[in-house]
Amino acid sequence: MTTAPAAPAEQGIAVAPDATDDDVRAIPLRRPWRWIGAAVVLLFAAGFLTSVLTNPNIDFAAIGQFLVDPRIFDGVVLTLVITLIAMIVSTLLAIVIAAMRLSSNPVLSSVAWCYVWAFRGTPLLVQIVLWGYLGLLYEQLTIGIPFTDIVFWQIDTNVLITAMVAGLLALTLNQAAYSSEIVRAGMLSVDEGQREAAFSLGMSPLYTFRRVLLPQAMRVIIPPMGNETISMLKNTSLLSVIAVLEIYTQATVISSQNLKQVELLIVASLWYLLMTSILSIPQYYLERRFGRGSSRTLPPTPWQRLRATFTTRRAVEPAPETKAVSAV
Amino acid sequence: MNTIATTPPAAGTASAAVDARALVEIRRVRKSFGAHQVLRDVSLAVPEGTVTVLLGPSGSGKSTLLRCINHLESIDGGRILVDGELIGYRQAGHTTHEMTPRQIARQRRDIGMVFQKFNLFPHLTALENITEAPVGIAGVPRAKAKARARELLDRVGLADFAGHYPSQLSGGQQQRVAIARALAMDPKLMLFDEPTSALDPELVGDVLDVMRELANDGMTMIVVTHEIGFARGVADQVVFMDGGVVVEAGPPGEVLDRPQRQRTRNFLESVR
Ligand SMILES: Nc1ncnc2c1ncn2[C@@H]1O[C@H](COP(=O)(O)OP(=O)(O)OP(=O)(O)O)[C@@H](O)[C@H]1O
Ligand SMILES: [Mg+2]
Repeated sequence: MTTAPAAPAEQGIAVAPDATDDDVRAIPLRRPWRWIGAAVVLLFAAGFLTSVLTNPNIDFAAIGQFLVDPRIFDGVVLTLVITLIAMIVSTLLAIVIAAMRLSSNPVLSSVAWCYVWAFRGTPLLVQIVLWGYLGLLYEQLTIGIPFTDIVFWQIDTNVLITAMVAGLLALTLNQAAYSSEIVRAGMLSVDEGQREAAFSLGMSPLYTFRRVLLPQAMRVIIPPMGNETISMLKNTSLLSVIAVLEIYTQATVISSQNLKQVELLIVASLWYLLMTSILSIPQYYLERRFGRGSSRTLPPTPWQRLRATFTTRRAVEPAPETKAVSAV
Repeated sequence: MNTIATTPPAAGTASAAVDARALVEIRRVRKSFGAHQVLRDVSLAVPEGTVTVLLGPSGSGKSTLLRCINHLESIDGGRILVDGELIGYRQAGHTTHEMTPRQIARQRRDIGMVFQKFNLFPHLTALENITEAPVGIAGVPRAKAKARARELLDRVGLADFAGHYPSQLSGGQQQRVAIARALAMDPKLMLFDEPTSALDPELVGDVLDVMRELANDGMTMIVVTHEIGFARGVADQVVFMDGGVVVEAGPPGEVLDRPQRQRTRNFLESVR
């Protein structure tokens, strides 16, 4: 809220001379505790920061050095690659599982239910280790027709399922269970009349799903999927238990040699913060893309918001005949 | 409420009805939801180029009958033919077998439907709502579909609203876009399920005007409505349904002014 200069208010009196008694200034409630609260919080924050920055046990030079270490870079790249592959594949899988769950075929919907039940009901860490041990369970992997001798393709498990593949499998299959529930909620949020309208125009069920139902469900799906992407990025660190060389594993490998554990954890944390910040940007654009038509005004993108903060100050014009101008 | 016919009956359509062949034939259609029998042996013929108005109390099965005509609901028995083609089923002797969703979708292209709640696609503009089906499933080139959509928007009085999203349109405007959307597939038949029931009274007229014009252009229409004035002015045939059966059917002058059955009289009393 900004208060307009007094000049226009006087104009207001000139326009309506008999309303002088009504032309009073409204003063908002004073809130001293806000100021006191803010001061206390700032004090503690400053204290904590100084204690960190002046801590002789933290080697800041090492942090700066390892922040740009090529091994850490490799870890960052691998972390991003794993996150993107796992998110994309798990989302496609989630759409299939959600469609199965919503289908009227009881076998398909129970299979989908069991999938979600199993993968959501066990810890991700356990799943990762299990996929890592797949070679112990099955020495050979085979594609063929069950209960017959017909085999199309066969391979040694340890050749195909490297640590990286096991990690990707674990993250993808686990994420698909969570994402399928998000997709399902999105599909349920679309009015039944939409399907009927699409059908009445002669659209096939698949076309209806693709062009009418899914785009509308996306509006509900995207915000939680943004959250899931950020969780996924951080969950890649669990792959250190099967020695996938993502950033956290790289950091621990380095610190086991130079014993600068805290410094390397700080390095990894800074990178995670940077990556999660960058990954949350596309969400704004996707929300705008799929929010078309849903409300009369779309939320601004970070870029528009940034520009707005620098331009509104100059652009504020006092509205005539009102004392207070609210600037959102 | 006393409703007066706003236009005189269209002489052209009324006389055309006499010798036109039936575009829609509904023969002994039965339909239940669980144990509740909603349609009991309903038979009805709608000649090409005519307007049929379905009247009846709530729950009498009007919407269900309309939805059976484009197979949004399956039927339990009987047959529905549109332009001589069995809808939703293939016949083999004394049984009929339901078609695949694709085949049914193909049949629905020729049957336009307008809903009480408009059901426009909210993520598409008025123009995109109209072009989606012609471009996406009928394979009409985009430029051609757009030109036609603008023509249709002009026809329903919304030439300036092509770029508006449904949320930026009033109910009456949305319903007119919905009519244009259905017309874009060049249907042989238009079904209307209470197209004005969700509208503020002052917006009803615009939608009825569009429908009236459509009727004058010779479109075959089946309309569920409580607008007695519209029925009197535009309908060639008025059908009164109650409890899942056709109680009375005939020209509006007979069914509305000289109803033979007590049930029809009671209903007309209640809506007047
Ligand atoms: N999908 C459904 N499942 C179960 N019952 C249904 C279903 N659709 C309709 N019915 C029932 O069928 C009967 C007829 O419904 P229908 O919608 O055809 O009535 P209507 O004549 O259109 O009434 P209204 O004027 O209120 O729209 C009602 O008793 C309704 O409860
Ligand atoms: Mg109804």
